[in-house]
Amino acid sequence: MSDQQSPYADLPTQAFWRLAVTQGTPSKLNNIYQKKFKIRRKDRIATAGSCFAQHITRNLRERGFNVIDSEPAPHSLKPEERVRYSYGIYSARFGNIYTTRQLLQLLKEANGQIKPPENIYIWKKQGRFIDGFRPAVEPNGFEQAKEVALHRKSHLNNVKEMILDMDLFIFTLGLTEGWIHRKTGLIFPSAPGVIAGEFDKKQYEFINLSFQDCVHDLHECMDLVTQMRKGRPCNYLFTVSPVPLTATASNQHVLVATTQSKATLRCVANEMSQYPNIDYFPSYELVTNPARRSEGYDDNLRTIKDETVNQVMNHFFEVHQPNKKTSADITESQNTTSSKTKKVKARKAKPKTKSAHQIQCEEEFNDAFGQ
Amino acid sequence: MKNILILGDSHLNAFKRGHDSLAIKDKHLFEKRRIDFSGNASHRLKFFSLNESEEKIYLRKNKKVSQTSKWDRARQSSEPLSLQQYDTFLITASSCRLDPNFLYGKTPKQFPLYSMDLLKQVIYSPRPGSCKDPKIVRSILEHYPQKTILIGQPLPDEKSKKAAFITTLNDRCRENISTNVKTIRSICAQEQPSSNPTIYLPPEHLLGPLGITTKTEYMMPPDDNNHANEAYGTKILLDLITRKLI
Repeated sequence: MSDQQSPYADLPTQAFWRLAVTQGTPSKLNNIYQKKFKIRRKDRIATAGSCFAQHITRNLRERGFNVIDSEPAPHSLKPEERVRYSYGIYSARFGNIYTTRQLLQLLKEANGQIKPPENIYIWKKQGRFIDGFRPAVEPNGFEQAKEVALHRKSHLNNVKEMILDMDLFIFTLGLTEGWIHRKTGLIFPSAPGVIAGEFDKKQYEFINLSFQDCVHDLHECMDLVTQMRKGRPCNYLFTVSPVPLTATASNQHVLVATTQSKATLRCVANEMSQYPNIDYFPSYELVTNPARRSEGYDDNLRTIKDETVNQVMNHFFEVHQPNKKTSADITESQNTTSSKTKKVKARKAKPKTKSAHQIQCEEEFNDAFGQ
Repeated sequence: MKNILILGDSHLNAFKRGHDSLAIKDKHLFEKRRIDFSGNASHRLKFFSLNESEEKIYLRKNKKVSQTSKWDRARQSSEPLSLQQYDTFLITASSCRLDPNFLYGKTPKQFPLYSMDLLKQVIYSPRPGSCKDPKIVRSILEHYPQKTILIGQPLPDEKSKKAAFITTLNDRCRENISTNVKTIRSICAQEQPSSNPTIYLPPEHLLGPLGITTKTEYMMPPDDNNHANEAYGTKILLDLITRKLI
């Protein structure tokens, strides 16, 4: 008789479904993520991807990470308007980048390798003009077609600067389905006719990217980034969006299409993360964990609850803690009472003497109004 | 007779000096228009308050400013000011809409291109958060938009520290700034709905090359490069008269 044990005998808790998932706490799964590289506080982080990436960007900023904002909003714009005009959502104002092909196309454009014809990407909507490659960034559209082209050129310059500037690129893989212009192969984030433009099936066709397509696209993206940066290395972190498809054009049931899309992207992320400078963070698994019984989703069973997002991000920050803040610290610092106290203290700390500017202003009055 | 009130903080003074100088040079200039001034330094202007039903400016109750002092230093009065008598309000507090601080922040580093639609939103909305306008300015803009011309503070002295960043700009930043300036000028030249005030922008010949600073010759001497001088006030008043805005 052999006295050899089962190969599973010495494995840690996280290797066992019953211990790690059935009996685990979904909001705090131990050892679900081990970092491949350190993210330092000073590291310049660029973010992009599908809509789940917006949560990542916001959380990184809130926790004090150095997220690039290559296209800041006007200083005097109201906070609610900033979001409406897609400012601060990602590191540049590219809107959602759902597919690997869209990312590749953007990088090629930013690097001057392709120049999409204006009549293909400038769409009309109620007398206004829309950039079809980022149709939601200007909610009311542009006044003139030439304004769209001018702003696209400026945007691409900012994207290039972001690429040159970044130490880490975080990209959330969202979809495999997309719509391309048959003649040019240009891909759009949404089908013409959904937000703006007109759908003509002779001009546009549906594509569903395969595993090979996505891997090839990402390899090409990374080669391009390296070329743009003249060989200067950077790190990548991929995530897969847990947000299901709103609709599919694949002739499958949307649930089947979603599973196919997410499974493909999850495999793509795995394939890519075999490189030492590419990490994978399991946001997809943390949300879709069966132990959550779908309660991580809002009532539409599609978008993710804020509470779930926070729990997902806590897993990330527990591993990457630039200032060693715990969740409790974050809650504390967000407490309004505490911030009010700080404000009061700051106010009290101000010297009561008049500032030079105040004195200058007073003197101005005396001079002009003869007092 | 057209009755005009110029309301503002310490930047009011260039207009007072300009007005007095013009009144001496050309008596006819103010025969058909009467100009009054109201205001105080910015840290006191913030206590000015509009009583909407009475249409009067009062001093808000507060501990810092004595109720009995002449809180309106421009009028040298402690009495409320009735606004019904005025046809036009010129506001010299708040940012000029071309001010680099208005679009790019206090320590400008990035200069993105902004769309016409977005700039319209920014120019005509009350300013949020830390850069918000004094309460009295917001009240007047809200209640009398049709009667109000927003002039704002002078743009920074082209040779001041506030404008030093301009020397470090690359061609792309300069191009973006110039395009944004042109867009703002074209928006302000367009006819606006009655809910919007008139936004007045200083004539280009008073400004530095990029159109976001004031030429040094129109600013007070180097020990005070925040405030414009008499020549500035004179030129702006004459421009307003020539363009039949007042």
